[in-house]
Amino acid sequence: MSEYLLEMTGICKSFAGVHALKNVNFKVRPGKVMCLAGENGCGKSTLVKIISGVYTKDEGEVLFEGKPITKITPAEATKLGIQVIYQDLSIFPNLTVMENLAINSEITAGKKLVNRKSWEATAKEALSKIGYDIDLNAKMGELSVADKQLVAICRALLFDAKLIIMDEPTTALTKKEVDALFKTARQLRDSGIAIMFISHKTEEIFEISDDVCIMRNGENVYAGPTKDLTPKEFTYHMTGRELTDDHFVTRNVSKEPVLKVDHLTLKNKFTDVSFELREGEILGITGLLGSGRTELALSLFGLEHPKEGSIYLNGEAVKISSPIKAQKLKIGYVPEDRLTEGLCLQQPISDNITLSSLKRLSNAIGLIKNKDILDDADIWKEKFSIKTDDVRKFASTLSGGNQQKIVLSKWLSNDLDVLILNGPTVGVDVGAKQDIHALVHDLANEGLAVIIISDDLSEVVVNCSRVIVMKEGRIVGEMSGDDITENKILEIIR
Amino acid sequence: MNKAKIKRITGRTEFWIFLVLIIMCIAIQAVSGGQLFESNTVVTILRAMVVDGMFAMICLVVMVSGGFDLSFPAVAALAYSLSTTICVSMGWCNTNPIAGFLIAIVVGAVLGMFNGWIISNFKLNTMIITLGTQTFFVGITMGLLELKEITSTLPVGFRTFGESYLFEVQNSQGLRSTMTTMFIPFVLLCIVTSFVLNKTMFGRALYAIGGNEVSAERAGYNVKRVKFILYTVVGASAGFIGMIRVCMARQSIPKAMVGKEMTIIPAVILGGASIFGGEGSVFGTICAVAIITVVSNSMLLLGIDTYWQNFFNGLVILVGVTVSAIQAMRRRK
Amino acid sequence: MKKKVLAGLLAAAMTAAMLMGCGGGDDSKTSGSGNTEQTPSNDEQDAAGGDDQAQEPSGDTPTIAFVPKVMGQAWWDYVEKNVKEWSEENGIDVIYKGPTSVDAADQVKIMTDLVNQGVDILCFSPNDPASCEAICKEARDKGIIVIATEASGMENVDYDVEAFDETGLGGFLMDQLAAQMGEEGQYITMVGSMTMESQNNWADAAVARQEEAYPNMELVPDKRVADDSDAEKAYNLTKEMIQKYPDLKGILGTGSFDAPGAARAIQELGLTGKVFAISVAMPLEVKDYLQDGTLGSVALWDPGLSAKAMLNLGVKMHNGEEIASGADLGVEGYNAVEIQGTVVVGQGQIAVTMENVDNFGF
Repeated sequence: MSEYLLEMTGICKSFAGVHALKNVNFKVRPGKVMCLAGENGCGKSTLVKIISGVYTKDEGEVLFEGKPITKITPAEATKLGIQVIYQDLSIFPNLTVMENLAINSEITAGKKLVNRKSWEATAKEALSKIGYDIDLNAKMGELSVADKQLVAICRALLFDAKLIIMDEPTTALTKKEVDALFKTARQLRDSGIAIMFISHKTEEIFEISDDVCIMRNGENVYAGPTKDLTPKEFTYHMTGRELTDDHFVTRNVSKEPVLKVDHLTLKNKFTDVSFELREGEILGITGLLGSGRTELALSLFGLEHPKEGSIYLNGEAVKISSPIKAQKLKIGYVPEDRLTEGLCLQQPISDNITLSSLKRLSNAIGLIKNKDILDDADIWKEKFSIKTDDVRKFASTLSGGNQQKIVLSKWLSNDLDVLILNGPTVGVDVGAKQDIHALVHDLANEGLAVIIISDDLSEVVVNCSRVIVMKEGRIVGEMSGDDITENKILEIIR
Repeated sequence: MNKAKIKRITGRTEFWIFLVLIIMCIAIQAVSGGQLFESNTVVTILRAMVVDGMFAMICLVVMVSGGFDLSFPAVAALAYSLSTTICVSMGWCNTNPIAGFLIAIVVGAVLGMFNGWIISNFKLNTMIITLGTQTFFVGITMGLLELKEITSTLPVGFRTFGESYLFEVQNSQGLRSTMTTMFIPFVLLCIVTSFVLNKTMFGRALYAIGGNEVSAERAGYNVKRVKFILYTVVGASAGFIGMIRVCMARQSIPKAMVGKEMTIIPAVILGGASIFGGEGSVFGTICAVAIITVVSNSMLLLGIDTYWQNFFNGLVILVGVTVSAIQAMRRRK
Repeated sequence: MKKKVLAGLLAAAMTAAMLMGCGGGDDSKTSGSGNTEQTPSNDEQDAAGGDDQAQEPSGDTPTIAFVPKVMGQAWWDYVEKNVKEWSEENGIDVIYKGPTSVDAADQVKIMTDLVNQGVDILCFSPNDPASCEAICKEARDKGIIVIATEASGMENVDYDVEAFDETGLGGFLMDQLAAQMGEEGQYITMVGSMTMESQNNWADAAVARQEEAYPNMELVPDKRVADDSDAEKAYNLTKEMIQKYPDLKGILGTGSFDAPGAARAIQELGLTGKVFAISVAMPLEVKDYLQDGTLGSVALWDPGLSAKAMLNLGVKMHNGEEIASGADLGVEGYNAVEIQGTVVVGQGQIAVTMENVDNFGF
């Protein structure tokens, strides 16, 4: 019996001549949590698909429990004890928890008829594996993401899983839910199961993993115990460059505030909020979910309509009745869920960039030249170093960070006074995060007034020259400059 | 727990559809002066439900799997027209209709396989595919084979089978009504559909595919095969149901099925099947078919102009689709 | 004009069961060639099989061709039988030839052959009137007498012989029904669809006839129902109407699915002899109901008599006789025809009853 559950050496895989994986080596130990880390498009998912039998490797050796595996189908991988929990969890929202838990094993058992008793027994057995309690007859679609995930884990455990691969499991979870998930993961690890955890979130990787394998451009650049790495080294391996968390320093702040919010109140959301914002500043607004931070941002963009209080722009009282009005007033807003709210993924990059500036690009009778759009898009592509060879490609071909850049450029391509960023780097990997931060710093220094709404405290600390902390709809603290630290903010929030 | 159970029941479309059916029946009964629940009216309504109800069953299974079948009327029409034409020219089915049914089922299955083959091999919208095959099948029926109406020359075997009845009822005015034998295949098809959907792994596969096709594949279902079998069986059933209709109407008219999908599919949606797949039950579907049949039957009883029938059908489509969309939206949240 | 359309639709509806033609195109594009040149020309070649037994007192024996929609179908077999009968009675040969399937192109080809052979009189029933226009024009240019049936709207014919017009049929249906109902009681009308112009006009004519001649009969408030040309629906409608109007005594249908469907309901409800139904229908389809008394009669026209009338008309024209309203075509129902432009309208509607139901073979 080998010391390792899974050993992969010299794995190569190419698609149509393009190398997706080049000589990848790594090992998974039983009873340990192993993290597979890397930026988007580094080959993580290709590797997982080779392990789970969806793809076949071109070269290299795979040993599972010391036995070589040459070719494997997904069903055989399941039999060996390899279970993948995909990001979408592979659940059936229209079926009950019981059915979701039992259906895979019933299919694998080759059953033809449905025996409710056997399904129920299977489901109960699955839940008992991690001591999880939930109504078996509840509809899967009505559960929270965290509950869905636990059901998916229970289901995986039914197959005497020896290796559970979790594909970015924390993406849609709150901090509390992540803690609960990690607790379960540790519990499984202690029972001897190997867990392979795919992520790009530095903190989470250091919190949960024993070993780490970092991939970049189809190669693994590091494989070994997590404790041998510092977060800085880790980031270096991921991105291939030294990243410095440059704190934002204001350069030219205007005397008069661009934006002034005075005793603004939105019923049940926030109360009596007042603050000022000057050109060249980056103002952070932070607080827990439900603290009113998002609603405040939406109010400034005309999507919520506070009844009391007033907003002044350049000294004039304004009423922001709609997003159109907000744009006229030179206020830009980049939503949190950039994929669904900010981008048309199945449209060319150029169209996405120029979407909100078509008026500027159109001539007297409202006609638009395609060339103008492409030229304009190319300018922004250069300015933001968007990684694409052709702006006519679909936005969906870009990585998350580059998509975020497009959303930003979409707004910045219009002349703005105030830019509101809501969770600007949610779901963006670490390299792109740095790029976006640097970009925002430049913008502020060029004279833009920026508001960042975020619950990512490190992001707030790095980027903001001033921070407002909200709690239960009220401003409970404000700090600026070097006073801004994560600990201080946490103290106020809690 | 009890509360959760009640909530689960009231949260289902079937519950509300059933309620609507009951309330509507009571209302019509009151307005029409007690004519609705007379034995022969009930028998008449049940008779009128047979063909639509059976078609609704095959639409239901397709919709549960997340698909749409617009081609079933064309499949049925081609299957029975070809079958009756063959029977007439060969002189078959003068005593019993078995040969005719077999031919129609085989023809239906072949056409269904064609649907299934395209649908399982090309990842296209099933509504578009079946819209295409529907036109194609109608083309075969009317253009290529030039199948004709068969009325007076319809083999006696079909007629006698269609005329046969289970029992006879008589109402207070002494009016008799007979319960057609065709009611048995209808009930059987409902039972079989319910059994397949709920008690077989194949049926659960349909729900699973309708819920999340990728997950169903990962869970170990051979999705391609399931779909191929599904559309083949649906085609065969359409042929069978078409023959039932020929027997009941004592005529084989190639054009008689035109537009049937536009009344059946809304009924199935009204009965709780989701346009996005993964939802739907036999009970809800039967209730919805009953509502539509009772309304169409009662329009005359209540003295409502026949033009309003279209209005009502349109309303059913709107209500059904809206409810379905709202439910899907809620689930996504 | 309207009547032409009606007659065309009527023809299509009534023969749909057997013929399934390509339907009647109404107006053709070609115009001109008016119907002034009605004088027959007998200067053409006297071809093919002359007959020495000629009974015609005056003139030569014309060569006649009759082109049915299709060969070998019961309806047209019956016509062929009658054409032969006529041929023997009059001692004039008739070439009876048509396509083997209901095919407009084949039919035109056959007509072209006959025209080139040089017939004197061409009788036909078009599968697609529009596609026959060209050859008919050619025929008439050659001086051939062209007589059609079920072809209203055609330009290039000398005459189009139709068995009846809408008033004739509507009144006939009402007379038949009234007789069965004892000229009293409630009745309702039934059509294939509310948008079928011909059927609705027949029904209107029938109601008009009732108002004029049968004061004791009463149209129920629902007035008219539509069965979507589906016997099953007609059956259900009948049951519902009897339910709603317990005193309903008559159902006046027009489409060929009305009476068969209604009869099935009447029979099942046990109301034979109490509720009566009628419509245009194919004899064999209602034979059972006629025999067991559920139906008293259905309406139809006799295509054999219609064919004989066409042949007689052709011969009359050949002999240079003047054709005007009131002309006698020597066949029952066509003894005093009405001429409406190029359409010859008879009173050729007949009642199909238990006695004559077997005479037709369709």
